[in-house]
Amino acid sequence: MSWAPAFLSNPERFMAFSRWAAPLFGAIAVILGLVGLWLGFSVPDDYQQGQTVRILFIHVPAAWMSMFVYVCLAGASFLALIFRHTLADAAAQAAAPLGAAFTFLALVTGALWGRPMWGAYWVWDARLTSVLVMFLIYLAYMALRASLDDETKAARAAAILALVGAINLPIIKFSVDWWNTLHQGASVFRADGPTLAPVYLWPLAFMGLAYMAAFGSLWLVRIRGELWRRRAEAAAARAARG
Amino acid sequence: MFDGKYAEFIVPAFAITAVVFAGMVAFSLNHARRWKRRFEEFDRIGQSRAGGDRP
Repeated sequence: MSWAPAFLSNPERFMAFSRWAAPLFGAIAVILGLVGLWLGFSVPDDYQQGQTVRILFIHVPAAWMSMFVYVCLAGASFLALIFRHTLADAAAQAAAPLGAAFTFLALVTGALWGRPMWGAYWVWDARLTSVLVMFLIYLAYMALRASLDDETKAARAAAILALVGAINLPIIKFSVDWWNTLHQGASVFRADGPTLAPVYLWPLAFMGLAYMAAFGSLWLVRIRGELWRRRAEAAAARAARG
Repeated sequence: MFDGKYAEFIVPAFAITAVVFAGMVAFSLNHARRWKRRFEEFDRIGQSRAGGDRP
């Protein structure tokens, strides 16, 4: 792993890597997503959930990604705050809108599953509420970065917010264990193995990997965009000076 | 197999997911392309000014 710090501190190397990696991850995401959708619409109905079990193939990966992206945001914020890596700061900034989008998807698809299964689009359940709090933290992170003219100060303040907000991650994960919630407990990532039937596990695995690859691709594209923005602003300043 | 039962919940869930993914792809690509173009413009202006100032 000795290459990692050198890679992170070198935007040129990142640009060379992301030029081919972003489209590759995008293509992998499309293929895995198509297979996952085909498998998802081919499975038999669940004995309790009926046909709405198909919503879980897009809801659960969105929920996983909402937390995974936050881990990336917090990790990049930590590196940016401590080591002042330009690339880490760009990575944190690029992750936030994607994380907000995945969290939005988790909340909306969850609500559309909850209405026929629970009889309500929304309940103030510990899992749902803690995920809503994470969505609001993503929005606050983006608002904070946009609200300060001094980009260095904005980056530091937003990084601190992202790190403080990371406290919410274990709360989301263990909310179903700590409190009596309507939301079911973990059924895939369990110490004693998944309790989900294999027939549903396969489409979920394909969709989960598709979401992960899509995030990888889009994150790289957004980091590239952020690095181009910073270069453009530096070039504009040089051009203005003559 | 899916035969349309609960379609009023399943179809919007998939449609909203498709729209959000399309939005993420469009905004991300647009953001990167726009700033790359701007960088190239400013860089060209900077270079032409620097070249023009030379004796």
